[in-house]
Amino acid sequence: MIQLLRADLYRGSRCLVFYVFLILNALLFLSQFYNLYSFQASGISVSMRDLFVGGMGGGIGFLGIGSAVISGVFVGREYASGAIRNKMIVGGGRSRIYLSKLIVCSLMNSAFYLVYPIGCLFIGGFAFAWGSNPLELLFLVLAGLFMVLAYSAIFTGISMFSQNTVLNLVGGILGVIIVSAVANILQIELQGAYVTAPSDPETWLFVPCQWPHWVQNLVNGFIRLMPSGQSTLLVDKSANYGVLVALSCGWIVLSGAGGAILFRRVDIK
Amino acid sequence: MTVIYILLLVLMVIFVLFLFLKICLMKLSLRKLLSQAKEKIQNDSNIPLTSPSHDQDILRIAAFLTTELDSVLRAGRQYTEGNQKIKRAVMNVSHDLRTPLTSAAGYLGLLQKSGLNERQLEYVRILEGRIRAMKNLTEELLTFSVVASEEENIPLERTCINDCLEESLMQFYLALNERGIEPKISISEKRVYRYTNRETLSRIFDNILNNAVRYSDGDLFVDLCEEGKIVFKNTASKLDEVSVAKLFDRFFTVENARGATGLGLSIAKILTEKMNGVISAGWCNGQLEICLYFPDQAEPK
Amino acid sequence: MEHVLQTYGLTKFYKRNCVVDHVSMNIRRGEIYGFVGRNGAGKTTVMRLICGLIQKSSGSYELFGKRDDDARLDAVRRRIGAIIETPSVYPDMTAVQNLREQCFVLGITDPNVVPEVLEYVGLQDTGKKRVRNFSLGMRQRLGIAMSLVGSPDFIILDEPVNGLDPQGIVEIRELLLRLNREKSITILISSHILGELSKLATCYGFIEKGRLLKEITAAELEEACRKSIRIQVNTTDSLACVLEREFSLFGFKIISEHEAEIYDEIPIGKLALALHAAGIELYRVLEKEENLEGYFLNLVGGASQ
Repeated sequence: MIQLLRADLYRGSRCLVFYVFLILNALLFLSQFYNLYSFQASGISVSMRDLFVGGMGGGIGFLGIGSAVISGVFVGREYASGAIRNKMIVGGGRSRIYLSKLIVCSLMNSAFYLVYPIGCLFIGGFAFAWGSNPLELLFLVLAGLFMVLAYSAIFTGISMFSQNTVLNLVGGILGVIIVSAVANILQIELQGAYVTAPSDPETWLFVPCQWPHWVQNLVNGFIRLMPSGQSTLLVDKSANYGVLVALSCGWIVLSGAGGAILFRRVDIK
Repeated sequence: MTVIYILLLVLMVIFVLFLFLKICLMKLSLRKLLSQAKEKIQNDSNIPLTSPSHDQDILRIAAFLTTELDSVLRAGRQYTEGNQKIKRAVMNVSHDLRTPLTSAAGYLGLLQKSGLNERQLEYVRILEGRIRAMKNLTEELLTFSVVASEEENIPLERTCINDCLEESLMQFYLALNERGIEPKISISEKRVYRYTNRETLSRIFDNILNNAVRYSDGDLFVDLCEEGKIVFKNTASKLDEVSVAKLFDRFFTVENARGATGLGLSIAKILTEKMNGVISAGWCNGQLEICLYFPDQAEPK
Repeated sequence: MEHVLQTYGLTKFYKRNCVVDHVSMNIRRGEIYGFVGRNGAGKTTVMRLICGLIQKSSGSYELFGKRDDDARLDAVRRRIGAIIETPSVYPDMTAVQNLREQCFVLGITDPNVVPEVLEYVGLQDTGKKRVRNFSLGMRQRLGIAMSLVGSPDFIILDEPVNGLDPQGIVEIRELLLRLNREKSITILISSHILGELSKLATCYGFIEKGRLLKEITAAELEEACRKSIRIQVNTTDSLACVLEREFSLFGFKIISEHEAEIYDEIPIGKLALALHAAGIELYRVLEKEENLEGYFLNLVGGASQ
């Protein structure tokens, strides 16, 4: 297991896509920082939380796309070159190979994600006030980390079983975008809407969601379960971090245990 | 002050933990080295020794052991390979001798019919005898090299030793009579069954009896007891304790006896051992005693 | 001698297609086993099964005496190196990087191993060249190097000379012979051309439509393919004189008291007459003439009927 991890880390540290996304996320941070800084300069009050929230991937699930691409390319390349066979032939053990991939993908994706919060901590701290409770921000970052780990778990699993880079990338990116869009729309629906009253066009009325209760619960659960849904929730102050982290852990355990067992019976191309 | 103490304490705890982990890893590595070295030798394997710990000293031990074990294993391989090569060469030579020998015998036959005088015929007859002896020698050498280099297992089945022994004795009756040997035979009433191969078993008996015919001073005792132990006994003044010990050695002959290759008993020994039997030779009071025993085992796999 | 690999009725179905059909093969230590069959005969599938890349449908196999359901099988797999189909190397890394990654997988820490292996296969001068710019032959050799870094006892090579020029084929053959001799590595090598293996293998297995038709040693194959006339007579005692005197023929061998084999051209009718004149009774004449490919095609043709 240690040997497989060392080998995967060796290759992971030479994975170009990983560095590209690392830099992209750093650029994202810088642009967000610049935006907020100019807001502050024009007199709008900005807190650290606003900066942190910018790194959660927002509506399109940037973190999800990044994780999908990094995991998909890292694992897919091993299948494309056939090098995964080298590991099986010498008795690496299917489960151990799977777990090693899961761990290394998780590490890479975490590094990709953490570029932003670390930037916030070291650069943002000088520019903005620690508005709310710093502990809450720590929880926010942790919840984000677990969300990224859940992404890694899902995409490592998909990549290991699909055995094809293109499929990984298309499936991963499309999946993230679609789920993000659906989660966004549902979120808006659940929150209810302001509509103009038919009698008086000047008055705005708040209409809460009209769906039956159980459908609302179901939709709520769906949003919290999907990492892409979580990223829309994390922006909101009312999010319950505990539940989100627990659900993410569920994904990790599912992929780690279930994937490792299922992978034993897979025929390798 | 307290802050520094706490800091120191934390540092020490970290240091101790680090050492503890390092010791554990090194112990694990040493244990692995031992098991890998054992496996390497047992399996005659090329696999190098590896250790999870990257401690330089342990790595040096692993590298040293790997090279040393490799050279030991290589020497062993060279030895077996050389042995195999010699056996094959012997087999090939004895095979290749057959054609010219047969050819020579044929020409000798023609020579005999071509109107030679008395003296010439005498020489041709001697020549014929020598060629026949030579033929026997090559045949036996071939048999020996085939038996010695054969790797296949002999198929074993339940065989009655009594029958097989009686048959062999019957075939030798004439030869024994010619030498004036009156064999004393006692074969157990109870039929003894063992997992052996009938053909091979009778070859073993033949070789032992052949030996007896050649070297006996005029007597032969054959005894098969109920436990399945077979004893051949004969007086042999030409032998002594030292030479009896060498009896099963390849190419051992008592004297330059004509037609004796010294391979008969070696072949018997190899075949016996291939069928999980035991063969031994003893010497007491001027008598040579050859004991043959097949343990009564359950059906082999 | 112990067996490196034994399979017992190994079978693999793809959907309802039987790709490998009760294959029982035996590879002993130190052998070079030539695995011969036409394209699509099931060679690669057998190798994948053995390497644990795909699941068997039924049957079983034993590697170094460990059965496939044994938990210690993964441990003995450490003694195997293999190239299945194409060499498994990362195209965007250099030869050294590829080998170093495999060293990590195998836990090898000795820094001398990578240069040694590269020199062994003759790739020491590739430097920073990425594998994607390698020629086919170089890639093939790198593949062999990848399977050698762990100093295996058994290597499995799937069509390693496929698509190589004659020079490359000779080089690989020399390399394999050296490995077999110097490190006593057992080799399982597949090809669809019997002739390619004829100077290499010590043992052959012929496969067609997923079934192992025959296992035969190189000596037996050579015997079977040697052009000869085998005659059975009542006695060979004066046969040699007849052959040598009447036909001035020396390419023959006396096999036993009743059989001899003649390797040179000989008119059968005259032979019969001459033997009769010499008082030798001729019982049977058996003529054999086959080359390697002919032998293989015969075998395969017989199986497909």
